[in-house]
Amino acid sequence: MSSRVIAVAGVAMCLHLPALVADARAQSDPQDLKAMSIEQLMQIDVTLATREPEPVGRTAAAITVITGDDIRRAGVTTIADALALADGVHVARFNNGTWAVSARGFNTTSANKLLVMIDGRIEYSPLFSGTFWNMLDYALDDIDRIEVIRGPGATLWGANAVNGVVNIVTRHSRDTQGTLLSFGTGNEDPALADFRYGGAAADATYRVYGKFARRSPQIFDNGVSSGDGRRRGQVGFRVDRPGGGGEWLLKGDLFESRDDFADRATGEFSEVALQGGWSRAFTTASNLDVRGYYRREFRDVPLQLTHEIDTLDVDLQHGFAWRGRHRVIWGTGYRYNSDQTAGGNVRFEPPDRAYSIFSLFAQDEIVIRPDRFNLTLGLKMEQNAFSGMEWQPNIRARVDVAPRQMIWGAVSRAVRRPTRLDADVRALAPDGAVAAIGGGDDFEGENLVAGEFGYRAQPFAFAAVDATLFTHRYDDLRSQELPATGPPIVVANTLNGRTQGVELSGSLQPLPVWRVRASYTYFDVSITKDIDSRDIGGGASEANDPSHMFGLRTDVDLPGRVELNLFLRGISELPNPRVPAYTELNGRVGWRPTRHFEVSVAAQDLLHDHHPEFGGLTPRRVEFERSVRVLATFRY
Amino acid sequence: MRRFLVAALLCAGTALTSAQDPGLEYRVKAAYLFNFTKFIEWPDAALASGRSFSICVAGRNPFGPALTATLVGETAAGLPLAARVVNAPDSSACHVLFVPRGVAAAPYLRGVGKSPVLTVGESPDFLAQGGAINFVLDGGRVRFEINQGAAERAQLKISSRLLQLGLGSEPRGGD
Repeated sequence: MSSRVIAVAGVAMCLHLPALVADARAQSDPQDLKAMSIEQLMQIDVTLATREPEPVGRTAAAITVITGDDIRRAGVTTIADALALADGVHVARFNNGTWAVSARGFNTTSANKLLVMIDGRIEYSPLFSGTFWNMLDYALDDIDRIEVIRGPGATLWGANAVNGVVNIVTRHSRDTQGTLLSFGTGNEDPALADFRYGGAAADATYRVYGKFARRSPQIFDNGVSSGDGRRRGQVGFRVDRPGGGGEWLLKGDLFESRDDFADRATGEFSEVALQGGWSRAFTTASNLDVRGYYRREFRDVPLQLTHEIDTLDVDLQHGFAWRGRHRVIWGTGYRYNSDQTAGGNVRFEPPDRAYSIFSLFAQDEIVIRPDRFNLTLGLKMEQNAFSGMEWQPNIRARVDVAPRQMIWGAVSRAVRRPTRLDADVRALAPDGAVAAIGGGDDFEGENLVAGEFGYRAQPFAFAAVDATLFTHRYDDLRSQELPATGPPIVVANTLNGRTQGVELSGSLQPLPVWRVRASYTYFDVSITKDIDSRDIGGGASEANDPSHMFGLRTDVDLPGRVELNLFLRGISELPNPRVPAYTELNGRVGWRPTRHFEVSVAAQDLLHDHHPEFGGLTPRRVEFERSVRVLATFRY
Repeated sequence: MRRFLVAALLCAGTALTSAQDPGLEYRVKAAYLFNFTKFIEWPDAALASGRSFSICVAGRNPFGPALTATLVGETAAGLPLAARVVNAPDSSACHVLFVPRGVAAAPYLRGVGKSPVLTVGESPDFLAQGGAINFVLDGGRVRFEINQGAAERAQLKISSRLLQLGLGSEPRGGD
């Protein structure tokens, strides 16, 4: 058939069936949507990339959503381990209490280019703008989803959303009614216990929860115990209540862990957070959110550093439609940090400091051609105590090339703002001499300009593919300068980086009870020095990334209410310090004879007795052992 | 594929002046309504009398063309599905009656009485007023809650699978 005939047929359809095709999206989407199961319909939403609910399939960003069900099926016990389920995210364990997690490179145990939040509350430490993953915990059963964006999301989410954003969303208390009790034990996790009770009072719903977990030490290369056992616990509550035409939220969490070390006394880590908010949707296009929280982070690593940081944050966000074609969101926020430090071999000068951040952002999503072409322009202004004013603009475009296919592109600038670790640090050598000092007011933010291009298609309801190409150019990366006058080393900004890569993923649901998901990431990084640089690190302390990563996940619902879940992941060699490539397999078999009871056996790292994931080959590099655990869960 | 584009483009061209975008929320709700018909059994008497399986919308139509687009060419209990807007509180000829936000539910629910009509709403007190299923927006996602008693009064059999997926039912999803 010639193209003219089809075009004419298209016009005829449009003219003669106006009710059906009046809106091209209304025509195509219901066809996609009605082919979905109710479970799939229940999953449609993402609040991240545009800070507005939008179906993930249409978001102009590289995004993966890990659902609560994915986490349950993965059988993992920590949030950091759950992030390995996301496409293009490198999750490497350094020891039981330390992870290196990053997207699009620059991974280290103190990686600082990922913005991590739980219900909109920051979970990275203001001290170094990285996440202490051993302190990020929640009742995993009460996590609704984890949204992971690769690439900069700085316009909406603020500085540090440089290489990606991790947004953990907990379940509404309405969805966690009733009692949950869960007990587990295993060779590496001798005790796992979770408790939750959800109830209702008047028009409010609430839940209270608590959890406790013990982790056994792993081993060093030579087979000796690495002495890194842990005990961690968390309690908290969440209350949701309608009021004022909107909904109130009040949430509090208290975390505490004791982590052992092979070479020093036990460390203590705790976090307290109290969060409140009110949100109201006036219409589907207009909403107002007000949110505030208080968070205290306390860490004590003997001989290294003891610190506590109090953070107070208030945010306001308003969205509205304008002239039919514009969807405008703007917001403002203020954050106040106050810290106290007492150092061992890591100290800060001054030891105590208070610093604040003010931010203002606006974004306009413009419908250029309905259902064909959307353009999003955004700008964020941020004023911080270290580097002053930072501007972070972003332009995104989305083109629906066919009913089930879209391409998108984005150019963004993002800033990793300076922290106490860059500006004020004093690192001591074993003999007590100062080995390195922070760059003070001379240290600037690290800048990124990123270009991204993506293609996404769902040719059939049961199959989808997603591909992203990116190139990132970093300027003013952190360096370690050895002055002509000799030590100490000074922290400065004389490195530049260039990364590029490809992120591919595909999912297939050959049968309603069988899902397969595969992902592959290629990554290339080169770090160069400014001409006048006297850097001696060469970026080795800033990045240690695999060139290739793949993941293959399959979830099968077998007859008799049995679930079988397998997750194979491969990470290529890390260059500096070198860590050998590895492929590992996690598996889980679950049985749910009734809706009130579930029992499962989960195994992690099945393919090796033990293997390392991060850190140089020293006698003290921790290797992770094969672990198996049994978990029983009661819900009623 | 380029040919496809031409057709889609031309369609989009005509779209500019016509009905407003019903929003993803209502496209999803339309898909739910279609899905519900697969998990609920109507008494034979309710199916014998008609030529079509009617999904009615009370008062005003928030779906735009999305509901019709969802139902066209589909059947429920062997009858072709059709959507229509009803204004009279006596909606007992409907199989499904959707009462949108902003439309007073009480007169419609009274009008339906114990007839085999699945009443679906989207207001906080819809179930308390005697409706059978209520849509709830949960952080931007459309979920639903079920009043099993109301469904039984209407002689409707709701499958256990649907009951499990309703809010407040455990376990969620994948079961």
